[in-house]
Amino acid sequence: MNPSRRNFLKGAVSGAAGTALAGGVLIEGARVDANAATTTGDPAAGMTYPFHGPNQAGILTPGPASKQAASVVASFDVTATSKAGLAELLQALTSRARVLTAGGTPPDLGVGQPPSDSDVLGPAMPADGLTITVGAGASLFDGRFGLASRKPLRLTTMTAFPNDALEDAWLHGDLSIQLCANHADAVHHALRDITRHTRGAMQPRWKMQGYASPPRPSGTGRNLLGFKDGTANPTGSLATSLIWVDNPAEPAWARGGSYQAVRLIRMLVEFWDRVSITEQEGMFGRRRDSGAPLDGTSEFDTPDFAADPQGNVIPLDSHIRLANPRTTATENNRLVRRSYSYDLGFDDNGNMQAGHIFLAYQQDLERQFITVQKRLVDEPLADYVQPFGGGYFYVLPGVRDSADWYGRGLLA
Amino acid sequence: MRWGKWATAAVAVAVVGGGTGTALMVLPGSGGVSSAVASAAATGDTMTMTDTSCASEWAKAPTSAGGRTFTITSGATVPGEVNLDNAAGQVVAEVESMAPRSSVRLSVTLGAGSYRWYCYPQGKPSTHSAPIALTGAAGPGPVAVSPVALSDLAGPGQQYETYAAGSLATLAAKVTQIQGDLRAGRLAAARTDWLQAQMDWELVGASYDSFGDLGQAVDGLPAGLPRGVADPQFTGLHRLEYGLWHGQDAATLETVATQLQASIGRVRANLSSPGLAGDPAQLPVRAHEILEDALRDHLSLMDNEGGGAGYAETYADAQVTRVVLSELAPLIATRAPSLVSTASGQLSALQSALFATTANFQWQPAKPATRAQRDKIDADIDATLETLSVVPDILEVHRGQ
Repeated sequence: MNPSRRNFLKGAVSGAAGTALAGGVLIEGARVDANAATTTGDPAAGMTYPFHGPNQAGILTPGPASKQAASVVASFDVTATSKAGLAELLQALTSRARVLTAGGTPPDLGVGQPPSDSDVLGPAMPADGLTITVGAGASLFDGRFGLASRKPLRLTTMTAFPNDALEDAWLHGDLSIQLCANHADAVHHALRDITRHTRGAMQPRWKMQGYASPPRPSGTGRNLLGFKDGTANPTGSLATSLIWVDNPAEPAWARGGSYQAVRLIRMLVEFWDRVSITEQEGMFGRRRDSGAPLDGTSEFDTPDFAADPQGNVIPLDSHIRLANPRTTATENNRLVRRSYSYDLGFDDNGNMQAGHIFLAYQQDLERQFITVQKRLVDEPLADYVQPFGGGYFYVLPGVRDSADWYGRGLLA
Repeated sequence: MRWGKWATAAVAVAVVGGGTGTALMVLPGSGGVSSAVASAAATGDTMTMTDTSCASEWAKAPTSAGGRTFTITSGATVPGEVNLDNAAGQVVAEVESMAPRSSVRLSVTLGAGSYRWYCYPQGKPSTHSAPIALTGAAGPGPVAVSPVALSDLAGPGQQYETYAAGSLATLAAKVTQIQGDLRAGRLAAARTDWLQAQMDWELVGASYDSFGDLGQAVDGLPAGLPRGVADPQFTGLHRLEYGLWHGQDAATLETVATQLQASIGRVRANLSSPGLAGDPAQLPVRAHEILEDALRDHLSLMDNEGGGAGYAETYADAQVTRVVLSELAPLIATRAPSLVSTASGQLSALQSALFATTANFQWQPAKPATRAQRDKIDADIDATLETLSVVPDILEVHRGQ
């Protein structure tokens, strides 16, 4: 066992240790285990985010601007056949999530059975900044578990938008599990552990691994089209007010949850690289080098669309202008994006299969994601991207304490 | 460390945003762009556009050739464009669409020679700086481009429109033939004629959705439609293809063909509209996007609704790309003398590679190409596209022109 880890789990974090991370041990809700830092030489590996709370982690904890570097979004079909079976599945999922996000030496099961852990993260199994975010798809609320009357108001099965090229193998699912950690091996380890402990009750449907880009050279990370992506993301209390469901018309159990829109978007990077910089910047509405809006100087300058009604500077059909027109009427359409890039193999035609795992959170799918997406129909950028997968999910309310579990209110 | 820094940057932005709108915003501690802006300013390479003057600083700027980073600042009251031209009047660097009171960083490598700035404030007379000679042993800079005026493209645009009208007439005749096939219940003949019709449409040069909704009615795909192949909005050639290869009966498909013929009629009637073939500024884009679309939709098999015509379609796309290139050839020749012949050779190689998959002069939808054949086709189209990607850049109509 690891004494410092155990102390840490009890909340007995001393500010001691003047760790490698200047500024203390609490960073955006993340705690850094000082001793783990010393022993592993990698402070990120000892980082943990609190598991218990009114909302799940992995959305604002940590927030998009400081999200972990590695991720996977996986979708599952529930194969349990009863409400009790579903409850068991969600309880198992909860207890694994609790262990994995805290980190700590796995139990020694002796020689009579295979080891309890894969050891992919070594014998001390660091949390590595892992967050786990569990969502329910519309299909979970069909007849199988008697949940039809408890479905969140806005939860539907995602249908194709006009520029989509959806592929069945990459769509929907009963459950979504979003895992984010500081390193890719921790994401792999967590998914492997979770599936191991839930076999028989759920079966994988699709998954996509993602990575975040660090600031290049500064500011918001870039997507694979080379543009800073997420500059205008709401933060702080604005973000909070836009994403957590508090509509009294929603089922009571759903309070504290959030609607998740997952879109797997291929980027046609070869085609994009053959387009002039002027055209690229006109499609986004921002400078590629600095991320500044075309009417501004620095990345975080606010575009003044009202001063440019003809679109002489920022084209009317540019992405930033359609996505967020910055009018009073469209203010409550805003949402929080926490996206990642992905890379797979090559397409049949020799192109790189790469793109964007779009992850958006909101309190009302229709008012936010769907409304924004409809404004973006036929934007010039649509020629260079192909949304082919994903789905809508309802991120369950947070697990409040050691007695609580994912969906306890839903299944009560 | 990132987190703390972010908080600082956010605060700084809020302060600046609430301020008086100074042209140059430097965020303390945020590094990157802002510090680059600051250092450019420090070396004196700031150039200002106003309503009535252009880069008056140029006369006193350093005269060294080589890598230069300018900060272009707009003190104008209207949006505008700023170009840097060489002694031959060719554009060396440009900033399009600058807003009043904004600043943009512009990095460019300048060889020895004389340069002057041109400013085009919207709705006002253009202005320019004095020419300044730069000296020093800098290597060759980026290729300069002779500006293109919209009027230069008018002739090629008209040629293309005439050509497209002819191709549409051929397509309409072929669809009439398909209607006859279906009326007589000859489904096999309809399948053969469909392939020719699909190739005729490719030969129009609008296959990459460049004719808007009217073009989509002729050539749209089911992918983005809520009900997919069963969606009533799925119409046209691919709808016909789907039915012909999925056992639908002749009577059903005759309705589809009749609707297709009407859609073609609407494209022909509106051909001169800027949203279809009527905007000559779009012709340079067409020169590379027809084949980009072939790579994206045909060679990826994305638009195969059963007919398996990807290679045939790509062959036709290569053919119409030749036509567009020939229309633009005089304008390209003075700017990139070897481009047309290079592209022509690459298009020949591509067409040969595609043709190698035929048997007895017939396209072979059911017989997959070998790995080597596919590699050759993909390699040839990729190489061609890299060549063609330059065309829209060298033939861009600058706003100032």
